[in-house]
Amino acid sequence: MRNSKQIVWVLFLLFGCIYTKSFAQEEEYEVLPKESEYKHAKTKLWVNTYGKIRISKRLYWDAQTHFRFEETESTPFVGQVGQLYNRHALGYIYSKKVNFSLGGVLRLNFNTDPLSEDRNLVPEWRIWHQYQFAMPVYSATVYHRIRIEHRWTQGFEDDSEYIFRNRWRYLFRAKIPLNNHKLVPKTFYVAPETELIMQSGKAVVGSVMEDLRLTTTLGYILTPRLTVAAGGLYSMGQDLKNAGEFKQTFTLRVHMYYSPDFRRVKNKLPAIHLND
Amino acid sequence: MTLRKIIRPVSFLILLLFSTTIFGQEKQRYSGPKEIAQYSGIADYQYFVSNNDTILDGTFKMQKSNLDALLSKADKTFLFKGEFQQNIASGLWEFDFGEFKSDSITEVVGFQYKLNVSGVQENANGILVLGKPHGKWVYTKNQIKNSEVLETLFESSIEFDNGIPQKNFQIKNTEGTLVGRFLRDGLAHDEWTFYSENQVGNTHSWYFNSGQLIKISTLNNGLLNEVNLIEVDSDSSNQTIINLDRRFIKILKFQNDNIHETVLKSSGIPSLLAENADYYKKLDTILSSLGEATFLPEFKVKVNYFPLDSIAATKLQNIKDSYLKSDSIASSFLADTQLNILKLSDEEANYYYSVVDSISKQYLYPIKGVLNLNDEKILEYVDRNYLIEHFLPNGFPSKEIKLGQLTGDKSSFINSNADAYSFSEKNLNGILQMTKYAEASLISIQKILSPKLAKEKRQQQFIALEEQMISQINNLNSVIDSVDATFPNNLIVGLEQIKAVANKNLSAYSNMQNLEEKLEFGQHLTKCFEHLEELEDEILLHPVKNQEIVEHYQDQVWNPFMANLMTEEIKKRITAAYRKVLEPYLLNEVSTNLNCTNAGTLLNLYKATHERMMTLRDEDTHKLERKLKREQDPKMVLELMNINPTVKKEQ
Repeated sequence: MRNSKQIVWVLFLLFGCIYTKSFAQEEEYEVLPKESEYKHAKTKLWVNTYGKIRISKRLYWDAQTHFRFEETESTPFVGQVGQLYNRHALGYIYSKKVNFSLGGVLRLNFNTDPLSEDRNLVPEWRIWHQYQFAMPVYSATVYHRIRIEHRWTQGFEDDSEYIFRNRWRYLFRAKIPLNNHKLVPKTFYVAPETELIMQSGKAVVGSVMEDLRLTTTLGYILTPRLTVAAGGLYSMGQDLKNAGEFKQTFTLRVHMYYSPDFRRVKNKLPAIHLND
Repeated sequence: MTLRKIIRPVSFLILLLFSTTIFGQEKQRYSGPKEIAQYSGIADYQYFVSNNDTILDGTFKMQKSNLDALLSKADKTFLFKGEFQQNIASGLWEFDFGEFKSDSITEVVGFQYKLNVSGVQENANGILVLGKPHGKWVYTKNQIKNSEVLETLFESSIEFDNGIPQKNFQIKNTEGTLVGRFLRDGLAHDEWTFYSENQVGNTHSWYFNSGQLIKISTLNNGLLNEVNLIEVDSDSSNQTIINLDRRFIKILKFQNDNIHETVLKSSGIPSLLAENADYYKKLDTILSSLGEATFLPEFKVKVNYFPLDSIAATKLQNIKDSYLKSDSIASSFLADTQLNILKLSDEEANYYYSVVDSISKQYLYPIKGVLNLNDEKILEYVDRNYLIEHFLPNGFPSKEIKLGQLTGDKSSFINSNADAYSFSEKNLNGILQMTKYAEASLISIQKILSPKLAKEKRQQQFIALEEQMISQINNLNSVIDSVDATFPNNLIVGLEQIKAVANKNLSAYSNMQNLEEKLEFGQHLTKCFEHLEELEDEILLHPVKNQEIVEHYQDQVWNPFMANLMTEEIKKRITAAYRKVLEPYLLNEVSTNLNCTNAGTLLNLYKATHERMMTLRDEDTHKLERKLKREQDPKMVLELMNINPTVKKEQ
């Protein structure tokens, strides 16, 4: 008797869940427009720091902090803070040309909608791993970067729940030295790059192309351990809510790359040349 | 009472038992490799140990033969067989020495391989009593061909009585045969005759009377030549007994000139005796290195004896001292290269050279002969009168030393104090006076020649020194002209300063008057110039060495953003301290403070700094780098970096 009672309870809950879920889906149903709609392009400014801190012969700590601003109605580009972005990982140097990393991201999303009365700040969590391959081509170097992110996001509403998505990113970048025949200190370089970000997950219905980013930066290698760069980014991608709508942005980017090595000289010595 | 009766015999027995363990040595046997004198082979002998010494006692056998050596090249064999009693060779002994080759053709006879050998075989056998030969000893040396005796090369047969030769003996070799006899006490007696093998009929005979050689007669191709020695011996009481050996032959030669000639002609006897002595010596060497033995045949003879008393010994010592001094002066002058060159141009030098040469020939050479006789211990058997006659056939040399008797040169030398010496006495005294005169003459010549040579030497030194300085200064001056236009200006200032310092010192040298000081200063200058030349080289190389340091302090760094290797300067504080503090300091020292006294130090500082920079890269410099921060004092930086050039003391 006792068992049959339990079974009834479980079945009841199960049906309840299915019901509510199908009800919710129905509620969020969006109609695709007849033609793709391109939204007004937002202007943004990204100030990004990239650190790769050497901790042993094969390992480094990847530490990135990005400050992302975006327009307000009165101020383009830097009107308000959009996101604060903290990306960390443990990197493994497989060879001079190949490295991998695995880590986490904590992104703080600020509510940029002036009309919203919801929460002002929500966290976003990611686990990410990345595989990068470099190839010398004449005096330039091209880089292929595959980055996979497992992402938990939520909206600004008080009762908003986390939704889970996977992101599939491929970046193709070239660094072409301008005043030298190779990428060494005191060299300017230009770096055109394209990144395609695809996404998947239950919450993703149709809008699989999250972002396509077209960037060009101009960089300068100050020392073997410090490089600065600045450039412009145009991006567009499908809106999660409606696959027929496309977001667009124009972003100014300022980057600083630093790679300190606090190891003692005597510890460094055998590690300089890696495999060769 | 009964107990007492028993105690005595029992205690006696116990004592006897102990005494045998104390005194009775147990004989042991050794069989294995052994080495005596130059012979090494396999030995088999009996011995016992006493006080940690091995005492040979019983049979002894040692041999060596090597078939491999015989077949491949040649084999040297030996076999010693005999007996010892308490380490003294006694009993029947046999010695064999062989040197064989083989034709390698073998033949089997019965159950043995037979192999023919050719070569030389020596054999000696006889009886030893208490280490001395006793009875008949025969020593033969045969030429062997195909295992058969082809020819007897040497044979001696001598009878001994406790080491003393007795009765008749016979020694022969391929030249001839010597026959003679001894008295019971070993003294040579009667006629000793050598019969020549090659020229039949030729004989040499020595006639002894109780050991005294009284007559020598030679028969050469029918010509008889006799020399009586008995006349020479004025007093037979002044005689002594010695062994008939090489010394005796030599003594004979110093009896008078006739004998000298005759002995030379009758060489058969002495040479056979000498050959025999050599073979006996060979056996003695073997026996003596094993145990106690006296195996040399003691053929005894009587000779005249002129003993050397203590006064004579002192005189001989004085002659020797004086001679050594004179000889060292004379030979140093005669061998002096400078004097040999100088005498070609300098009349006086040539004169004294000739005097020294004459003294050496007329005085020192005969004296050396006398001293040699003394060293050979023959002098005491030679009549002093004859000694003078032998070595100075024309009498004592004149105090007025004649030069160039052959060249007709009439000049001569006489020492100022010649009157103080008189050497007319035909004895050691005369020789001593003669030696002293030679020494005094040489010393007075030395007083004249030495300063002359020293002056000459100094002049030569000046010439060599100045030649060197001129070549150095030319080098120093030419360097600055050889640098090209891209050479850094601050370094050119340094080069100019080096040149200036060198020229200033050279003019100081040329203004000096005192020759002694000038020479010393000149020697000091060449060293200084050497340093300056090296310093110039160092400055010329400075840009290269700087570049070397810059490259040395480069390290390869992997840039993770570019995914490539970049070169990076490491230990920047150290390179900065070098660039900003040390390098300017070094250059400044050269261009402002350089002089002859610190040139060497500066040079070393340059070198040491560069060397230190090259080593610091790979050292742990963590603390040093921290200390170097903001350090501007070059002396402090040098100290921190531990740069201490070994400062060479300037003379």
